[in-house]
Amino acid sequence: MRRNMFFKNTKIKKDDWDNVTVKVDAELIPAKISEVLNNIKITMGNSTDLVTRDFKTGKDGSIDIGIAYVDGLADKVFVQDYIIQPLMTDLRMTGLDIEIEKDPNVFEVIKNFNLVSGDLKEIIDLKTLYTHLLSGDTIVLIEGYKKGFAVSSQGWQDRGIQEPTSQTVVRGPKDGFTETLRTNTSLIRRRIKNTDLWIETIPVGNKTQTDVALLYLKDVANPKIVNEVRMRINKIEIDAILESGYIEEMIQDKTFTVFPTIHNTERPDAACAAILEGKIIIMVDGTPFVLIAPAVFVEFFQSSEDYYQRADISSLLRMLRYFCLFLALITPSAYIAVTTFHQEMLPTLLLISLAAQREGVPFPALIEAVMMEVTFEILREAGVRMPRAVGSAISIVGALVLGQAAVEAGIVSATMVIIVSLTAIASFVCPSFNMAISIRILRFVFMILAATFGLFGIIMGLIMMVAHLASLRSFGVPYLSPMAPMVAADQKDVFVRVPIWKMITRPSFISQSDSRRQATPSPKPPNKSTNEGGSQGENK
Amino acid sequence: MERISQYQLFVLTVFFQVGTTIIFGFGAAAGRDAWIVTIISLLVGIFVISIYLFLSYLNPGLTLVEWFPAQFGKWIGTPIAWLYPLLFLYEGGRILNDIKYLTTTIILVDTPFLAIILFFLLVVAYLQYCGIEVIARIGEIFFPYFLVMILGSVVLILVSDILRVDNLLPVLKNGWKPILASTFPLGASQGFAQSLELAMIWLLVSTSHKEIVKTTLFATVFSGLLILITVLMIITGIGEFFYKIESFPMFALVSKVNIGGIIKNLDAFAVLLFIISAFFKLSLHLFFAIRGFQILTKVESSRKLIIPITIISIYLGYSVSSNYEEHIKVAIEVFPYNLWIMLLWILPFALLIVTLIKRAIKNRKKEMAQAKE
Amino acid sequence: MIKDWLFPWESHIMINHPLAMPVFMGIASFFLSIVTWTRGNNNQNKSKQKDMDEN
Repeated sequence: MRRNMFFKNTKIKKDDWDNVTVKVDAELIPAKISEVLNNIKITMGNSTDLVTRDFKTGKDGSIDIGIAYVDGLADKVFVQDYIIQPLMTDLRMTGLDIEIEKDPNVFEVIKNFNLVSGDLKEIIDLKTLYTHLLSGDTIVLIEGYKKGFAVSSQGWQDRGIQEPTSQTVVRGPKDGFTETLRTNTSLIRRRIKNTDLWIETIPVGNKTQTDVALLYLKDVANPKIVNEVRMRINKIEIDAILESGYIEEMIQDKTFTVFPTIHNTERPDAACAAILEGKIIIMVDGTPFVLIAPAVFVEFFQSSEDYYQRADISSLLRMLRYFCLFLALITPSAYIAVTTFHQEMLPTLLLISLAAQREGVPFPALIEAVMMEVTFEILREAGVRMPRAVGSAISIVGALVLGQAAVEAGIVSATMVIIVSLTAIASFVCPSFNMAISIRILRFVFMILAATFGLFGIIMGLIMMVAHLASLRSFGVPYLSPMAPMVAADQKDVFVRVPIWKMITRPSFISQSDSRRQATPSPKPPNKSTNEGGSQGENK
Repeated sequence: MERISQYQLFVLTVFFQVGTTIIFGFGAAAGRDAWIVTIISLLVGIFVISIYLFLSYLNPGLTLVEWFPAQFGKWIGTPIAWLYPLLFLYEGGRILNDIKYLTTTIILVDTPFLAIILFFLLVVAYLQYCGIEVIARIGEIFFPYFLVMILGSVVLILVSDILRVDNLLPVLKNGWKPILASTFPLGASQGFAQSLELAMIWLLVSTSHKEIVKTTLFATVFSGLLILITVLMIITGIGEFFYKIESFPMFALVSKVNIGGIIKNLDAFAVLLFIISAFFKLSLHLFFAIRGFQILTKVESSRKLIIPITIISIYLGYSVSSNYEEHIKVAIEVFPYNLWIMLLWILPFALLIVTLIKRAIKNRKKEMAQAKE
Repeated sequence: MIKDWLFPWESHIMINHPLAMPVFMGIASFFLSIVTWTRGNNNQNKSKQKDMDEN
């Protein structure tokens, strides 16, 4: 019901958006070159990276040409060799001047015979001119024509394709997205050679005009969700988009939650897998992190390596991750509950040993646990932010001072240190950083509940957390699917990962169209007649 | 309108029927023959639930509280319909008292029970805001764990070798009389005839009526078997005497588990089981109460009623029972007789008769009209 | 004595006067029915209409 209401308003189409941008500022290009070049210089405040040049060419210098590009965005060598060179010299030396005498339309001649570039656009208004100029294109203007060319000449310095740092794998592709949108789309295209892979680009940000690209597999993705994503991105009215996090925060379903409802990844293979499941990728120029929508809870516990290792190993690892989720969430609170309220639940010997350790500790269990957990969070945050060079200092402080010395000084018990380390390690098992953070936040809530109501508090807290998760939606898809609402066929990729040849259908909670993935027969040994060759060989 | 799936109906029905029985035991008055009580109650329960399902078939598109005005007319039907939300509220209050006594005797001895009730109701109220879809979804999430915990405790109890089949003997020592006495009204009503309340959500299930009938009856058999297993384990585990006098027999049983001195004190297990099932039962009681109030007061959104109903529940949780002995005495000797017999047996049967007569008259008229033509 | 009939849900009254609760519920439901009757039918039609719109 609620979902239907959402999708009722999704009638805005892509075309409408394009019309809007064109209409905004349609000042046309003047016919005089000097006027245009001056306009550019004044508008950009004579910025030092702006390069403009005008020169005469043609048989007796009758043709005035002006070019403009931004140094650093455009490839200087390319501009030199393939734009200035042909215009300046080739136009005189080759027979082109004869062509021009025949056909006085210089513009067409230059377009057809002179500019050797694959990506060449005619521009007529100043707004488009600036968009192209600032994207690294070279603008070519010809005296007397109220239009010009934008020749694609991008060639800026960027970080090459490197191994992703956030989601590492042992086995699997080692390339990661970069900061350049075009490189990123090419990484996807190279993996999915299919005409149905559609890429839509929407400029977002009034000041930055950042390109935001939507990638989806047209006949697999749910059109309702695609429309919804597009509509939400079109609604964004902001001055700048510097990272995909900006988009993520502005298009999520519900803001009052600690759980991420949109997934992100740095790995092209993970992005491709998402596209093939019918999800939508949102790429933002300037960041290697792409967004995956819609996202469900279990997805944050899947690593792309799960599909590259054997099914049994992956299934075990996946269960280990859920177990670690549980550990990271409630170990400290369970310790607090047991030591404060339910001592009788422990075996006597363990109880005595715990009591002996806690004897010298001046704080109640809750204070002790919160203190240590906060200390750990401080260490972790310092580890992320500090300069690499002082890394060893932090580890010494962390391990020796806060671990050993604190126990010896009798401020915390040794058990507490073990528990905090265990939760810390367990929370890093989660393949997704933002889900791990949510769990860490909730851990403190659970600790307080445990200190007030013991085990009862933990159980009620768990029920409330699950209720909250069950009420979340990501682009209309229930967050806990396929566990609740239960879809039996989609259990193949939740707690266990069944062998690839068994994954016959795509997850049905995202999209129902073209749901069959494969028809591979299950692998089996060759039948006897073909096996004879082998056995004969053995006999010899 | 919110919708729930067939599987969700199954889960909610099982949670509702098993409810607090899993800790308090079933048919304890019949002593070692309680398992016979369970079987008979299950059979009677199946019969009476079939009748409720038949009633919902005869009143398509209507919930429990709308049946009576529809069949008895506005002036007689409405007051009768109003009895049900009040009953649900009272039963919700009783569940709160169960929790109050269990938690303060076993796990949170020093905590004031008002704090426990408030915290419990806070979570329940949050669920009411989320709606029945979310209640059903958490049911789906917790159901497997619930089953695993029950099965786990069964396995541990079997392994620790505390069950004595001799405890069941002699069968029927006191004849059928005590068995029948504890079957009706208590045994057959507790959980089974109580399922009349589920008539508030049968409408929301997104399948045909036939499937609802199948699912509900299957769930009834399923929870009947769960209760039977529990009862058998408790009787063979702790014997008739303790079954009769223990406040929480299941609890007494699990605390006897001891496997090689390592696995013992499984009290936490039992408490977990109890809190989860009590939680679902209370959430459903309050959901049905709120739903009933909403339909009968014709308020557009049930959200406005959540806070008032929760406040009433806090008061009921505080005042329904003044001590545990009275609480149990009411549950066994008073409450089934003065409320359940009337509301779960007499009124639905009266409704069935009236509905069938009205239908027959209608058909007759139709036939007559056709004959005239 | 009157106090017994005002709070009939309390356990000691349930035990001593088992009939108090049914009587109380009967009276309460009669008064609550007045709410139902006074809110009339047009309101119900409206809410049904709304349900249909939503669907």
